[in-house]
Amino acid sequence: MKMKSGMMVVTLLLVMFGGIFLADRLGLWATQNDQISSGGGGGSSQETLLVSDPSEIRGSTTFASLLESFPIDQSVLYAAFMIPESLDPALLRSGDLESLFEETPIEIGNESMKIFIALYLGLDIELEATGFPQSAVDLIIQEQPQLDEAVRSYLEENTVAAKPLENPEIEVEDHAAEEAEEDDEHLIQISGSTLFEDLLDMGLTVEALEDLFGEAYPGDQVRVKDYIEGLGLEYSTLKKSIEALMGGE
Amino acid sequence: MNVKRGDKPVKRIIKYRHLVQLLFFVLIAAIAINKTLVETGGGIEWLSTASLHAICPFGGVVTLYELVTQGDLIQKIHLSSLVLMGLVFTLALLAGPVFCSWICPLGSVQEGFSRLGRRIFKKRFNQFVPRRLDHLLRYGRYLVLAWVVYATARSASLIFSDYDPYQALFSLWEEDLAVSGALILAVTLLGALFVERPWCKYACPYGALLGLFNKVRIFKIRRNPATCIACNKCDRACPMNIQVSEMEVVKDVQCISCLECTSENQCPVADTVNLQIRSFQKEES
Repeated sequence: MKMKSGMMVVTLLLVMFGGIFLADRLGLWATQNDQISSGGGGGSSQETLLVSDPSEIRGSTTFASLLESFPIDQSVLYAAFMIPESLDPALLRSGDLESLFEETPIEIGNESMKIFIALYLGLDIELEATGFPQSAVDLIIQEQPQLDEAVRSYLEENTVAAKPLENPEIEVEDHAAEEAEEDDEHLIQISGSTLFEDLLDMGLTVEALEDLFGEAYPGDQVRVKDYIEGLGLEYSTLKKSIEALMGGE
Repeated sequence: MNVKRGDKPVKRIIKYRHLVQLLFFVLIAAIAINKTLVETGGGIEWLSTASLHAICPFGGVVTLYELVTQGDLIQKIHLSSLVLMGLVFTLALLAGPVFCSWICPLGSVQEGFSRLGRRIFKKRFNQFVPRRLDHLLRYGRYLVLAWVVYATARSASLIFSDYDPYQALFSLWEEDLAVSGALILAVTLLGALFVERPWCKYACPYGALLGLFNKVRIFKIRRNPATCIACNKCDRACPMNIQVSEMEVVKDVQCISCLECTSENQCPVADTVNLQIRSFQKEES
């Protein structure tokens, strides 16, 4: 029996794509880690979230993406790195930490963010030499009191007396200029931790939300992402619909 | 009976492999670019946003030690890598390292540079390295394989990632592009102007592993000495410099199953060099 090029193409595509399809059907095709988390600092509900590996966070990853990817609150992330609340998570990037903390003896940057998120959520990560503000270290220890001694001493060694620059807006505004000018501020403020109350504050009405979901208004303190996923809907699609709704108002 | 094959089938065969190479190159490049776009607030929704590590079958190999000893995968490696490893091994068991010649985007890019090199150097192309030195250098990829497996097992992290030209190729636009990987990529592509597939021949740890399947694969490259006219076209066509004309069955660990030497392609005599299960003698009897 011979195998010619035509048969090779068919075999190759069948094995590769058929194999991936089969693996997917059997639940074996996972390109991200599945982690069970209690929702991080302050999260109230037990939930299963699909999160990315913290070691894959890049300098270009926005804080908004981080909040969507990991069960961590914006307030925690901002408090850890002493970021003013006025800075928009959709415009702020993980790599911006370098310019926010320009004057530290050990650099605080994207590596710090990767390791902070991993340790805060109790995920595995390779510990590399990078700086952390005291506030970040305190939050990790508070969230993970059982942290082993080696990690504690690593954090101690890498804690720096850091103070963010007084005018970080300058750096962030540069990123904003890179974004499309038509970006409405309201369109980019929905993150994983946004509550229905926040949507109302942004100008949406209860009726508009009920129309969108076809359900009764779930309540002010319900997280939008939890609610959408609870309905078995695609968060990213619904998020866009909400943003479009805001854009239309 | 020696039957000359016409020119038409050659063109079709070359296109098949090149089309598959193009398909996988575009697919992987699109996924890599989409991941970057999604992280910065854009991206195409229906396209995968998997990381390069998640769609690299070699990741499955390097995590095996961690999986067996700790029951866990190393950082950045996901189940998908293990699935792809299994699929590529299946193909290799069937027809050899077809992953290298039909799928691997780094191999495809090297081939692109080599086309330019062949135009510049003509017959001298792919003949620059003295045979003895070339023979010695080809053990290099086993050293790389041993180092990668050992270092990954020791550190439980993707040590090779910073030196991997494949990773660098699809991270060229990234802020965290590893300089070491980019340098190795540049040297590889420069080398490809002189030598066909230098990375595959001398340094690729995955190619080293897949090459071992040539000893046991089901479909093998077989030459029929009864019809062979000893024109040595198969030798000259082989990108890996294998002397096909001196063998009846190609079991060389460097063979990448590109089918360039076969009667479908460069061999001018029909049914003389084929990818087939049984030997020509058995088929005739």
